[in-house]
Parts: sequence; structure tokens; C-alpha cells
Amino acid sequence: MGNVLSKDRLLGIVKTVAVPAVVWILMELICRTQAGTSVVANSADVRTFFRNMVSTVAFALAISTNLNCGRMDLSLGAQMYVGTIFGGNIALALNLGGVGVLVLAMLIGGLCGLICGIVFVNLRILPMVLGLGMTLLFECICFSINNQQGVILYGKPGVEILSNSTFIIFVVIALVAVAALLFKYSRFGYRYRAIQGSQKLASDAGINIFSNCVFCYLFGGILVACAGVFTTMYSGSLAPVLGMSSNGYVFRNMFPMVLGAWIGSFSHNAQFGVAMGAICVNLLTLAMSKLGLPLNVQNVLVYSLFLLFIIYNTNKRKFAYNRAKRARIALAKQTKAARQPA
Amino acid sequence: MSQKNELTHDAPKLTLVDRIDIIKNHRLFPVIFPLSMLVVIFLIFIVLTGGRFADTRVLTGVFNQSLIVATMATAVAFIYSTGNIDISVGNVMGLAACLGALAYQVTQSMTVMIVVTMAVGIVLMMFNCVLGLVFNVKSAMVAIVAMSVYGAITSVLVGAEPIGVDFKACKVLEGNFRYIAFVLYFVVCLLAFSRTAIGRKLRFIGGNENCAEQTGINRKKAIATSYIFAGIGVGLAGVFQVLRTGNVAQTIGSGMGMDVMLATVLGGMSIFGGAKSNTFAGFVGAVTVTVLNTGLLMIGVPSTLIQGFRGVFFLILVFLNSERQKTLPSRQQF
Amino acid sequence: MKKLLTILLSLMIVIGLAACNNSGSTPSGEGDVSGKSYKIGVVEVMLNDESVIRSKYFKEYIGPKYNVEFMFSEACTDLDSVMKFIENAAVSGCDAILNYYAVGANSEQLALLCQEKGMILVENGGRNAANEEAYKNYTDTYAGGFMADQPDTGRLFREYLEANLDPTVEHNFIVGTGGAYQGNAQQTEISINMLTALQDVYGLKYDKTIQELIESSSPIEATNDKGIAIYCYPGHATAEGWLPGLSAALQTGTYDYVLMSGNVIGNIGTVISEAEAVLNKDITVVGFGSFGDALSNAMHTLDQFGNPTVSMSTVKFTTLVSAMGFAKAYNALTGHNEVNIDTDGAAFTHLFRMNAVTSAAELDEMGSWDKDNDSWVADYSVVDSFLAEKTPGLTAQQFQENIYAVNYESIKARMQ
Repeated sequence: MGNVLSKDRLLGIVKTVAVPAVVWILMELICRTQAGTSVVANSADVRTFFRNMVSTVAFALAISTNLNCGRMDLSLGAQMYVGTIFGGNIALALNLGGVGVLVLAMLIGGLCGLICGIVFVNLRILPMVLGLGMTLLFECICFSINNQQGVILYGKPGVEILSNSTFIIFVVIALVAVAALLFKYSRFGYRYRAIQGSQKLASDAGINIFSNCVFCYLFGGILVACAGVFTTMYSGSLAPVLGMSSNGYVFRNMFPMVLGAWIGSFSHNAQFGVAMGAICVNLLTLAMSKLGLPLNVQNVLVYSLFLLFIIYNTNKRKFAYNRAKRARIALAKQTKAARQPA
Repeated sequence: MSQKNELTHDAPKLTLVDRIDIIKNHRLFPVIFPLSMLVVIFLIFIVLTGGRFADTRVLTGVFNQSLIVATMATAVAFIYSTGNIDISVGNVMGLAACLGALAYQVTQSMTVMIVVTMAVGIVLMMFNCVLGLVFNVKSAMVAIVAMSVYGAITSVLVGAEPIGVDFKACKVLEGNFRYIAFVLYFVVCLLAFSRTAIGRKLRFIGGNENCAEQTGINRKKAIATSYIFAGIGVGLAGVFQVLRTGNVAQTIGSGMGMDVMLATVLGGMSIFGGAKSNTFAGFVGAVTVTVLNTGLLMIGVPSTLIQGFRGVFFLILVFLNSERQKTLPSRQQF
Repeated sequence: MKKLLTILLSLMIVIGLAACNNSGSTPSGEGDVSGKSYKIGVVEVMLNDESVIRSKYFKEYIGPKYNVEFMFSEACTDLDSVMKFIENAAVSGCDAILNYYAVGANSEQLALLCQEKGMILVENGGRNAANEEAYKNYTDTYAGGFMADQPDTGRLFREYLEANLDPTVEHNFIVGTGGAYQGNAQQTEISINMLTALQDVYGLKYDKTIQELIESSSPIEATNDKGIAIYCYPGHATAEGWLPGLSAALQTGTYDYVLMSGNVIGNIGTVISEAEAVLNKDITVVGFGSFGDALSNAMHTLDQFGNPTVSMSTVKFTTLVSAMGFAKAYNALTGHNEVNIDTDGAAFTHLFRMNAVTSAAELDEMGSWDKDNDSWVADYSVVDSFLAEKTPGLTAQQFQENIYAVNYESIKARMQ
């Protein structure tokens, strides 16, 4: 039995890793034949890939934290702006270096998440609606308080570590490990999954659904701020925005999150799956950049793939059922044919 | 008499919270509350602007500026009432207006522009609907994809220069045509939603989908009907947009889906749908947002802070208008 | 707790509203221009460093002196939002509109709207085929435009390239055309200037027209008879996929010059330096920027070859440009609209010249200007020279000459 289990687990892990590997091979083939280059051709590409991956992993994990409990937090993008801009500027002013930038940004991002969570459990208005209101507020705060200035990381002393591939990999592993520990193996995680099953039953069983929820928001805020720091490191600077445009970050990270949930189902580890999902989507975008596709075309392609994937994912049981039905009919026909006298 | 006193004595006393709950649970509360809030905000701005806010020019301006979002918010009420969400309506409107304007450039006919815009609006909304109904994809997911894809197509179609429609011809139609078309659409929606089986079915589905299906309601047909109504409204909003601006630029409709949702919720509609849904909410919400924007600008609130004020107003009004659950509100919409 | 939250939120509104109601930029009446006070609505297209300086300059410096109150829009990104702001400005008592969201195709409609509302319209843009009607037929309320002197900006790029390019060494270029494909007037003009400068420097001939090249929404090679690789790369740095696209192009190793029409100097530093490190090749960046932390940072940060991240940037003085717009509106409001009319009877477009910054020291010097009331480039003497009320007999051409008189040397002399 133990062998079977470990064999299943091994197979699950292989499947989980196989998906990004297949995507990479596919993209590599397309890039080599169409653009005459590799998807990841040199060390700059490696850094770009890792930096974008850590942002995507962190953001996708943040979305899933609340979304898995039926709460869509639209203010995550705005929390990212507040965390990165304020945390980044404070850390730079205090000469805390790259790690300081990351830590302070995560702290302030967490604070934003905490505020959002406290407001939510007290007002109890619909999460998506609360997200809209908090987005309006956070964007305004971010824009007005610092005299409309964002944060510049390019060229600042001590922040080079944020571009270091080893450090980035360490951050990715740390994020995934912490998230996995929290959501799979901690008391918080058990309660979280109980709430996921039925909020009412969990509450009746004595679980404090409110503190669990606030913690989810807090964790979401920490993660998006982490994503914001690496995004800013790549783009050099981050300027505050208004008009709910920060929502774009939430929407664009839905694909890796959903894809990650599917990949994670092979190994029963959603967090690891999200990391693999992020790798897939980033390989895809990197390949499209190598091919020199217009941004609009890239958008249409990515979202069309997203749509196709959701269609598959939603209907996979139906597809499996139809496959089984066809096999049954074929078997019946075969049996009938075999029983018929020659 | 003494028996009556005894009964009264034994009955539990209603606290203030109970009384508020009773008022909040009244079936007309979702309609009356946002409207009263609108009146209160309006009165506050009249006082703060020294009466200038009551000027007919301001009122006309508020109505004109609310019209496009109000039309779309009225439209999406049909979708929201079933518990589905569509935040792509802004981009649907944009693409419909874009194709309508292109049709005008080819034919130089306003009628063709109107027909094409309306038709595209309906077709695109039906496409979103089909993805949901046939492939069982959650409407919110469809909307996220549709937003980006329609936006990108519009951007490619428009190109560097906005697609022009003779704005003098637009101006002729802008006034009365817009008002009549909106009032007609609004009344039809109001009647269809509150006085016909269409509205009852949609609200029932929003309240409890399984129950609704058990009673013989064809869920797919009802939801398709809701998207058709929404498509008509979104197409109409596209026509209004072209008539107002006289051209279609690349950014048309982007971000408007969120504005529509904000207006709908502010007007007292729940995005989870159900029995308390109404089509009236979108209009009230759109007017409230415009009143806030205009009023705050008139009293001198810096432009960078207006959004923050809007956010706080929004949270307070939604909180006061919503029913406070014992557990946390949540729903798997993705 | 929930009550506390509601009360807190409500208090925020009440205190905020009370504060804002008293913080309007109502003229203090200390101005030295006698008579009527005016109110001008400013349509902002982006809220950034430039808009912050403009707001401060108008509210704290121009307003009190000239009895003018200013009202600023949120960031308007489409015609509908501009129209809404103009309508709201009209009911708020504005007499004129300064429109920074200038799209040629919209001018006539906005001119008509302002005419209906009895307001003057001034636009940050120039005369072209799309707005010919507005320039010709609405001169009573359409006070024309103000913009950068484009041939002069082209000259700056040309002179820089001529001085720094070695014709015997092969150079290849990425030209970031930014939002030119979306009709962004400024980025269209700068892209044209850059491509024209390359044409002049190398004496080359493009296979396609420059207009076709800059209006392409897809990246496109500007093939030419001299075989120089020129890659026109459209889009904004904030768009998903733009930076990886630029990075991919740089890493082909073909290009060693990056010319950017959009204000992306703050965004491309990492991509450039990483490409330089991988290819061990110096990549020169030339672009358009505005005074502020991003440009300053880019000028002060040296790459591995010891060169600044940005080698040359054209910059403009925000208050000079703002003063031009204000003066055009003010002249029209005070009955001196003739200053806004050209010799052919159409509205006049006033031009300003950009400056080229090629070193950190130069930037530091200029960057210390246009900061506060003591260092505005367009001080009262400059503004007065733009106003017919203060400069009797001022004509549109003299107004133009007075703008050109505000140059690097004259400002430096004044600041010292």
C-alpha cells in the first residue's frame, strides 16, 4: 500500500513538473524555428524569467489565498502599489538595501491586507464590492500622500540583490514553502480548509472564521507587496496610479493561478502548482517577446489560451465521461462481434 | 384588556438594532435607501455650493453624464440578478461602438451605425453567455477574458486616429433621441423585471438556482434572456457614446465595467443577485456617482482626492444598505 | 467595531470636505491686475511630476497675482471624460479651459462645446488637418494651441547624433515610437523627429513613409537603402510584455542605440544595463524626459562602461509651457484675442523650444529651476511679456518671440 502511495505521489510530482517542461519544449521549438533563438538565451533572460516568475508566483498565491474561500479581493493590485511605494521609499531612505526594501514593502503590504481584512469582517459587505472601495481608497492614499511620487529602484545602492538569480530562487522557494506549510500543515491551514468546505459548519465547530479570514487578507497583502518589489526591480520604477487601473494586476495573474490550481491537483499541492503555473505563463510571454509579437496580439493569444484552458478544466469530467462512454460502446461492439458466430 | 397587557408584557422588547433590521428587511428598502441617500448627498452639495448645485444646467449635466453608465448598469442588472457577473460590458460597448463607427464610415448612414452598434452589442453579450452556458465557464472568468480580448481588438481596429462619425449629425440625435431611447429602454426593463415572468425567473435563479430548476424554470433559457436584455442595453450605451463624442478612440470603454459595477452596487443591487434585485439600482447608482464627482469638483476638492472620497462614500453607503450576515459573505464566482 | 469603522469613515469625509471647502484656490485679491477675476479649468491627461508642478505654479504663483482661480481635472484619458470635465467646469463658473488632452480629431467638437458654454478653449497641441475647422471657424472662443517647436526638437536629436556617431562604425537603432500608434501628439512628433534625424545624418531613404512607420502598432523594421537596422518599437513601458519585448530586441546584439519618444527613462534602465552586461556592448540611450527623480537617477547612474544610463534627453520647462497656455487663455478673456490670431485669420499655435541635457551636471543645474516660487522659469516678468494687458501692442508674433527669448542662457542669467 505504501509503495502504491509513494508511486502515486511520484507520478503526481512528475506530472506537475512535466507540464512546464512540455510548455518549455514547445516554446523552445517555436522560438528556434520562427525567431532563430532560444526562449531563455542568456543570463539576462534567466534573470528576467526568474524576476517575472517570482512576481507571478507571489501574486497568484495572494489571489488564491482568498479566492479559494470564495472571496475575490480586487484591491490586491492597490495593496501592491501602497506596499511597494511606501516600503521601498522608507527602506531606501534608511539605506536598508534590497532585503530591507523587500521586508518593509511586505510589512506595509501586510498592513494594507490587515486593514482590508478588518474592514471586511466588520462591515461584512461582499468581498468584491469591498475590493472596489478599498482600491479607490488605497490608490488615492498612494497617489496623494507621497506627492504623486512613486519609487525608483534602478541604480539605487544595495538593491542589486533583488536581481540576483540565486536570491530570487530562494525567495520563490521560501514563498512556496511558507504558503504550503501554512495552508497544508498548520492549524491555520486545517481551519482554512474546514472553512473552505463550509463556513457555517466550521463556525459551529468552534473555528474563528473571522480571524482566519483576516489572516488570509494579511498574507495576501504581504505576498502582493513582494510581487511589487520584483516587478519594480525589473521596470526600474513604479509610479502610483488612479482610476482602479491597479486591478489589471489581479486580472493578469488569474491565468497562472487557475493553471497552477490544475497543475497542483496532480501532486495535491496547490502552492507548488501555482509556481509551476507561473513558470508556464512566463515561458509563454517570454517566447512571445522573442517572436516580436505586437502587445495586442500577445494579449489576445494569452487570454484565448486562458479561455481554452478554463473550458477544458470546467468540462474535463464531461470529456472523461464521454471518453469512457465511447470506450464502453467500442468494447460492447467488440464483445458482440466476438460472440457472433463466424 | 389585562390579557392584552400581559401579552405585550411577555413579548420580547425590540432593540434599536432589531428595529433597524426590520426596516432594512422591508422589500422596498433597497429601492428607497439609495434614493434617499442620493437626495441627502444632493442637498449637502446644494448647501456647500451655496445653491449653485440646484441650477438646471447642473442637473441636466448630471443626467447627461450619467446616461451611458446608467444604461449599462440597467442592462447588467439582468445578469447580476441571476448571481452572474459581467465586468466586460465596458469593452463590449467599446467594440460595438467601434464597429458601428466603422460601418458609418463605409455607409455614411447614422441608421446603419445605430443598427450595427446595437447588433454587435447583442452578439458579443450572447457570445459571453454561450461560453458560460454551453461550456459551463463561470461568468466572471468569461468577463475577464472578454475584457482583454475585446479591448485588444478595439485597439487594433481603431489605430492611431479615432474613428470619426460626423459629430454635427451626432449632435442632432444626441438630445431627444438619447433621452427617448433611454427612457423607453429603462421602462421596458423595469416592466420586464418587476411585472413579468422574465424578472421573476431571473430573481428566483439568483436566489436559489437548484430550487428554480426544480420548479421547472429553464435556467439556460432564462439566463440567455438576461444576456439579450443586457446586450440591448450595452449596444444602446455604445450608440449613446458615439453620439456624445462623435468619434471612437482606442481607450473607449476600458475600465467602464468597473464603473458600472460600482454604480450598480451603489444603487442598492447585490452582485449575488436574488429576490431583492432591481433594475432601478443602476440608474440611481450612476446618478449618485455623477453627483459625487460634480459636487466634489464644484466645492473644490482636489482632483487627486476625489477618488478617495468616492471610495469612502461607496463603502459607507454599501454597508448601510446591505444586510449584515452572521457569517462572512462569500460565493464561488470564479 | 463596525460602528467605530463607520464613524471613522464618515469623519474622514466630513473633515475632508470641510478642509477642501476652505482650500480652494480662490484668488486672494492681492493681485496687481485690476478688475475682474477669472476661473480656468485645466484638463490633465496624466497626474505626474509635471502636473504637480503645474498645479503648484498656477495655484500659488499665477492665481494670486492675476486674480485667477484654477480647477484641475482628474486624469482624462478619453474624450468623454474631457467633455464631462468641461461641462462641470462650466457649471462651476469657469471662463476658460486649458486642455492637455489634445487630439486633433476632437478639437472642433470641444471648441463647439466651449462655445456653447461661453468658455475659451486653449489646447496643448498644434494645427493639423484634423483640427483645421477649429482653428479657422471658432476663433472667437478657440484661442489656438501651444506645443514644442518640432523642427527644433528634431535639430536637437540630429545635432546630438551627428556629434556622437562615427559614420565609419556601424550603428543600429531601436526607435521607441511609444503611443504614436495611438495618436499621442507629443510622441508622434518626437518619433518623427528621431526618424528624420537618422534620415538626415545618414542620408538614407526609408522604404516606407515615416508616418507609416510610427503608426504601426506592431514592431516594424524601418528598412532603408543604406542597410542600417532601425527597429521601430511601439507601446508603453507600463504595458505587459513591453519590457521583455525591448529586452529581446536588445539581446539580439544588433542594436547599440535606443531612441525613446515616450517618457520611459525611469523604466528601461535595468533592461539596458543587463543587455550591456550580457553582450559586453555599450548601448546609448537618447530620449525624452521630464525634470524629476527618474531622469536625475538615470543621468547619475553610470553603466559598466562608465557612461550615464541616458546619454541625452530633451526636456522642457513645465512652467514656461504652462505660462504659455495661461497667457493665451488670459489674453482671450481680457479682450485681447488678437494675440491668438495668425495673419491668415486662423488661431495661432505658439511654440516653445525644448532643451537638450547631456550630462548630470547640466541636469543638476537645470533641475534646480522650476521648483518653487523663487525659481520658476516663467516668473512674473516672463508671464507679463506674454500678456497684452501688460505689454501693450503685443501681437501673436511678438508673443512668439518673447517665448523664444526664454532660453537656457537667459534663464541662467536670471537665476544667478
